[in-house]
Amino acid sequence: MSSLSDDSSLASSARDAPQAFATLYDRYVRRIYAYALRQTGDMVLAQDVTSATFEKALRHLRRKGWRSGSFLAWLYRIARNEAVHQYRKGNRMVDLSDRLSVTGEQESILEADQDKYHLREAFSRLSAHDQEVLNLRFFEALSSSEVAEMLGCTLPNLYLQVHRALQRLRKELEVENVDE
Amino acid sequence: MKQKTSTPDFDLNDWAQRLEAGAADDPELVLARRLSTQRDEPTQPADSYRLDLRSRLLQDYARPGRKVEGQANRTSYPIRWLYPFLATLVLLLILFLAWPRGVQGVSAAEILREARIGGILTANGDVIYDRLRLDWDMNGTRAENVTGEMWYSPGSQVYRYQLTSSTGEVLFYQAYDGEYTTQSVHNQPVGEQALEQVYRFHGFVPLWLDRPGEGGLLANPSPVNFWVLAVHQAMERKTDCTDMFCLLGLSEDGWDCAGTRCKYSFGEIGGLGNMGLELVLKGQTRLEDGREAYEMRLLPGGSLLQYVTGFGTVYVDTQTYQILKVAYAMKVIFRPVGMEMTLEHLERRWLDAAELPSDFFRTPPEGVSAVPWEGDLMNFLNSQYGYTENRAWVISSDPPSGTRISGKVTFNLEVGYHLTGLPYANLKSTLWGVGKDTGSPGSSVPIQGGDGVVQMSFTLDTDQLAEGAWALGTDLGIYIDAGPGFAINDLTLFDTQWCVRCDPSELPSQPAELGTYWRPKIEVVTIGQVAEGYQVKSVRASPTHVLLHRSGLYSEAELPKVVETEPIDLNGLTETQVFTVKLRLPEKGEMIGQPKASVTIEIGPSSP
Repeated sequence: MSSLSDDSSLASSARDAPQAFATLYDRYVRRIYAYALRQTGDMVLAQDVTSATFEKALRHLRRKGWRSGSFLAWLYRIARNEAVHQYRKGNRMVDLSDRLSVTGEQESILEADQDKYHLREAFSRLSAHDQEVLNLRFFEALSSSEVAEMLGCTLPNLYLQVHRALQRLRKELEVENVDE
Repeated sequence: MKQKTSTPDFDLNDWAQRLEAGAADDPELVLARRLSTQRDEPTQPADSYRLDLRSRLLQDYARPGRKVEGQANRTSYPIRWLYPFLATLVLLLILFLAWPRGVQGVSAAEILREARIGGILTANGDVIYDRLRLDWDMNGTRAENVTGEMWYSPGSQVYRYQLTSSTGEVLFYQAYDGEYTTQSVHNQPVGEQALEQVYRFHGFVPLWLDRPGEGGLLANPSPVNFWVLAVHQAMERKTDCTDMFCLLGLSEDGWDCAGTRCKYSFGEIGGLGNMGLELVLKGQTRLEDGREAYEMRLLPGGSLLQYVTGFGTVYVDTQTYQILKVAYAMKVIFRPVGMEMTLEHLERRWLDAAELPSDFFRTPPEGVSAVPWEGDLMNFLNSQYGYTENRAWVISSDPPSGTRISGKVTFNLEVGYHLTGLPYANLKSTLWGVGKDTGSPGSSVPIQGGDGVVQMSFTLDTDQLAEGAWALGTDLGIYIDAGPGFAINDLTLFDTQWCVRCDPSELPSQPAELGTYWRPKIEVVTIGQVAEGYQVKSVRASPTHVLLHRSGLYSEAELPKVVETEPIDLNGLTETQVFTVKLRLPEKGEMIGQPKASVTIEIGPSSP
C-alpha cells in the first residue's frame, strides 16, 4: 500500500525537485508496468503505456504541481487511459479474467483446482466494468479509496459497484456450478 | 428521495466496513476474500528499460523551457491567495444554485459511468446479438412493440439489423456481409408498412447523412437512425462497445463532466466550426410505466447551435442504468423534427458464427425478396434526401393554401411530379404530428419514373390539435405551428408551408420550397503585393467551408463550388495578419450562420 502523506509530499516537491519525482518513479514504476502488462498483454505495449504514464505525470507536476489525493490512484488513472488509448489504436487489451489464469507449467494444478477454474470462467462473463472494479480492488492491491479516486466516483459508490460486481460474479458462479 | 447507496434490506456502510475488515460473513464477502487470495506477484519490467526511462524522464526534467511559465513572476502573496478564495466562493455559489434537488449525490458523470454496463464486452464468440423492444412516435407515425434486432461482429465487418412488428412483419432491414449490402429503399420504416422487397448491391454504403446538422440522431431521429448511429459508433470506436449509452456516443469516454453537466466536443466538422453536445442531468422522474428514471437533457453546443435548436431527452433507469426512453423535439436548420421512443434492452449475448446460417448476413428474412441493384448507388441513396432531380409540387389545392381553417377540413390537391432517381415511388398524403392525431390518412398513389400529375387528398382536424402542436408531412402534409398564444383551431395555411414527400424520397413541393443545401469552399481573394523582401507563405480561411441554402428551382450549375471573400489588400504588408472579411454570397444563396470568415495571411521574408 502506498503512503499517502509521503506520496503527496513528494509529489508536491516534484514540481521543483527532480529527486522527489525520481523517488516516486522508483516506488511505482514496477506496479504501473505490471498493470500495463496485464491490460495490454504485450511487453512492448506495456512499456509504451508505462513511459507515457510517467511522462504525462511529470509534465503535469511540472506545469501544475500536485494538488491532493492519492498519487498512486492518479498514476493508475493515467495508465488506464493510456491502455485504453492503445486499445483504440487497434492494440487489443487482454481479457482481465486472465488474472485468474495460470501458466502452462501449472496446468496440471489448474485441472485439479476446479474452484479456480470456475472462478475464472465466471469472471470472464462479467462486464468489462465489473471486471475492472474487481481487478483494481482485489488484484491490483489498491485501497477502496484509491480505486474510487481512480474511477472518479465517490467511495460509497465504489462500494456499491464492488458489491454489485460481486453479486453478479456469485450468480455467474452459481450458473457455473449448475452447468457442471 | 431514493437513496442510491442503500436499500431497506441492505446497509452499504456496514457492508463496506466488513469488507475492509476482511470479514467473510456473507456470500459476497466470502467471494471478496477468495478473490484477494488470487493476487499474483507483479511482473517486473526489465532493468534496462526501467533505468533508461528513469534517465530519460530526469533529462526531460532538466531540459530548459519545461519550467512552468510565470513561475518566476508569481503574483504577490496576498493577491495570490485572494483569487483562489474568490474562485472558491463563486464555485460554491454556483454549486448551490445548480444543485439538482432531486438527485443529490448523483452526478452526470456517475450515470454515464454506471451506464457502461457491459461497455466493452469480453470476447466470447464471433457475433454480438442485441434485442430490444421499441415503441415510437416518429413525427406522428406510431409503432408499438417493435422488436429491434442487431447481429454484428466486433468492428462491424458483418452486421444485420432489422425491425419487426409485433405481428412478425419486417418493417426495416439492412445487412452487410463483408461484400454486399442488402437494404430497403427506405431509410426508415414507412408507418407500419411491411417490407416486401430489398435491394442488394456490391460494397458498403452506410446509411447516414454527412451534411452538417443532418448527420446524426439529433437531426434524423428515427428508430432506424438509432441503429445506424449505433453501428456507426461501434465502427468508429472499433471496440466491442455495445451498451446503449456507448452506442449512442454517450459513453463516459470523451465527455468532460462536472456536477450535473457533461460536455462533448466533436471538434471541427466539415469546416463549419466546432460542434459539440451538452448533457445535463435534470433530475429524477417516474415514467408512465412506473419506472424511476434519471432525466438527462441532450443539447446542441458550439456551432451546432446554428443548425439545431431544441433538445433531446434521455431517460435512464435509476436501477439498471439502461436507457428507457429517448425523446426529441427540435428544429434542424428550418425543419422541425420530432421523435419519442421508448426502448427496453431485452437481451445481449455472444453467438458463434456456426450458430447462424452461412448466408445469414446476405439473405433477408422470409417473405422479403432481394433484388440486385445495378444502378448508381449514391444517386439511389441520395435520392432519399432530395439531391436528385426528383420533384413533386402542388399544382393546385382546394381549399387553397393560405385558407384559414377550423375543424375538420379535407384538402384536395393536384400534385405534379418528376421522378428520375428511382424506379418507382409512392406519393402519400398521410399526416402526422408529435403525439397528436392530426387528421385522417389520405391517399397513396404509386407512380412510375417520369413526369405526371396525380390527384390526392388529406383531411385535417384542427380540434385534434393541442395548442403549440406542430405537424410536418412525412408524405404529403402541412406544417402547422400555432406558436404560444395562438388558437390552434383557427389556422392559416401558408403557401410556403406545403410540403410533399415522394416516398421514399423526401421532396419539397413548391418552387418556393424547392431547394437544397450545399457546402462551397471559401476562396480568399487578395489584391496588391506584400512589401519588397517579403512573401505570402500561406493563406488560411476559417471556417474553410460555408453552408448555403437556396430555395426555388435550381440546377447544379447554379450551385457554385466556391464562395469568394471580399478582396484583402496585401499592399505593403510585412508580417502575418488576421482579417475578418465578408463573403460574396451567390445571388440566390442564403447563408446558414454569419456571412464572414477569418482569414490568416502568413507573411515571411522572401527566400533568398
